[in-house]
Amino acid sequence: MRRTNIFISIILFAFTGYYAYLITKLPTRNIPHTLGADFMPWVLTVCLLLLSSLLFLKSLFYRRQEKRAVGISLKEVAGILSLLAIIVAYITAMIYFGYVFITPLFMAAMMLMSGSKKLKEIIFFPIGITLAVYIFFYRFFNVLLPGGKIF
Amino acid sequence: MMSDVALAALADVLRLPNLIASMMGVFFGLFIGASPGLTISLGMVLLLPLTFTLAPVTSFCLLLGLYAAGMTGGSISAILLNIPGTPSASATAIDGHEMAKKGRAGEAIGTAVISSFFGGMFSLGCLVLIAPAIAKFALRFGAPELFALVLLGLTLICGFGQRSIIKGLISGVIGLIIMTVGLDNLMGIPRFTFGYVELQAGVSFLPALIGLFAIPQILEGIVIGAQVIPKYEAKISGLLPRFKDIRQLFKTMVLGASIGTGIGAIPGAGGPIAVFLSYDYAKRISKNRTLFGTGLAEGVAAPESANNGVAGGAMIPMLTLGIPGDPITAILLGALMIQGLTPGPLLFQANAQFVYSVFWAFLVANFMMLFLTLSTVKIWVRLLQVPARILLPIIAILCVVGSYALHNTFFDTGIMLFFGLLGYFMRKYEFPVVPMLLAIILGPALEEHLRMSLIISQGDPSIFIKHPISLVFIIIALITFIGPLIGRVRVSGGEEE
Repeated sequence: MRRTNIFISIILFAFTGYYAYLITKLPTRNIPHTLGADFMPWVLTVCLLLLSSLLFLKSLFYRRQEKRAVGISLKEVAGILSLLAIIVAYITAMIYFGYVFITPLFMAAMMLMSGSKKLKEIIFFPIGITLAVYIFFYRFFNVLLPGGKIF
Repeated sequence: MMSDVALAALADVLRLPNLIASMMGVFFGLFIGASPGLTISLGMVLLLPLTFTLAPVTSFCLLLGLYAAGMTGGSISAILLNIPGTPSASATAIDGHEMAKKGRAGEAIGTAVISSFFGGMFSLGCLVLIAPAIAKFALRFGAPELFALVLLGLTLICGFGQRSIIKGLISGVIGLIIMTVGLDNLMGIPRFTFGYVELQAGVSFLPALIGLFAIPQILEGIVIGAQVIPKYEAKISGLLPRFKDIRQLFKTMVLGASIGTGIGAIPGAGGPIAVFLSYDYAKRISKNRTLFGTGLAEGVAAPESANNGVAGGAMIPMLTLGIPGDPITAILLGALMIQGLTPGPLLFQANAQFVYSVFWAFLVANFMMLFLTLSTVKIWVRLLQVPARILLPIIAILCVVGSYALHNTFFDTGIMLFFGLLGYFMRKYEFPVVPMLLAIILGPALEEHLRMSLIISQGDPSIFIKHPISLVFIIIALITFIGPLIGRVRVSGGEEE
């Protein structure tokens, strides 16, 4: 946990630095007795810098900390990346083919990833759920669903 | 004599579309509450996109139905499977599951539902009596008081119940930083938009909420593997407790509801604290205190009445001051904003009928919860068995569709994914997401009132001390911020911040 916290505080320092750099690039407009658009961001930069320093110092010097392993294993990272790839592919495909055509495929892929093995389940649930969401959102509540460029 | 506004609000709530919305909310809430791993907050963010096209009252009928029933639904799996559907149902499992093991599952569920109903009605009574008075008082607040109040709300929530206060605060500050994205309110200067027109209005909080709450759950469920839910095979009967039993439980229910409402009204305290506190007090005052934990109805009535008492209590600061008490009321606050309504004292003046409608909608939601839970409990027991391999992909679809529906653009879906990943890593590295959620909701108000105050005082920060109400809020904020810090160092002997 200690090492992880040190690593996190270094990332936070880098983020704070980048945020401060972005603040300096903000356009300025001087109106008397009015605080500029950069006022709050500077306050927050100072707060984040202080808190990151506290986390860093505490992790560095505070020896009596819980020895718990936190973090993400490589297997988990691979799982997350593949799941995200499926979601991104789903969103990208939806831009061209729309909600109705792509959603059953996406749901089937997710079900396979979640450990579904029954063929009937993988075929019929995605179709049923896609239609149910379509009827419920679009027909019943008039909420627009993504329509594709092709379909 | 009831005012015309209150009667008009009642007539509005009793319209068929609103009753249907309330019923749907209750059904969805029972499902979400009863399903271990699915939280009421998640249910709320999944339903929020549906409210875009609905009238404000209909939206609140739907969401309050979910809120009331979700709190109760959590007790079903707690009693039958010893797996609390929601964190607030944890204490119910202690005696409730023991009752189920002895073949008294029906009685335990019946007691839980009736106690929940009592808790909900009690807190509603408090809400109706107290909220208008607080709102009237809060009308005196100017920019310095409002800034101090929002600051108080943020410090209360950042400081409560976290493993690390520093990480809670970092989460809150990052949330505030995210809310600086977009056009500056006072100057009209674009900040951190990176040339994206979509970011000029700021980061939409709905995709952020969906990302923070739902995506980590999907990632964890699918990548790590969701927990296997055991089956409950025994028959459930005797749901309705006898009048004599209810009378015996009355004192416990009043105690639970009072604790729940009181704790609920304190921002940051939340349901889990209320239920365990209520369970503990009920045990202390009970004649059967030695039997607690062995399957005693009082052990179910106390936490369940507290559980639903929290709902009405948490709505007091949310409606009157615009300060959410917990993640659920933060989402309700977001729902108000989506409808173009500004929560706070002015809501009582400018939209009095809507406020009364919220009261009535909560009343209807509680009655619906009572009747629908008792009449459909066997269905929920079956639905508990819906496997995660089906449930999680459905949630994923609802997340994508819901975030798209806000502005009909995939840009928001990207925002949702970004926050989803952020939320996942925050969970993994023990950064609480609730302070970030509250910062996202309260951030714009904090900045606006701070800058307005300093404009009024011509840059003199002593304005916050010169105004007595603002001074009181700042002192309370300091005490609540420093208090837990000192307490933790003392209790743990320095093992935590």
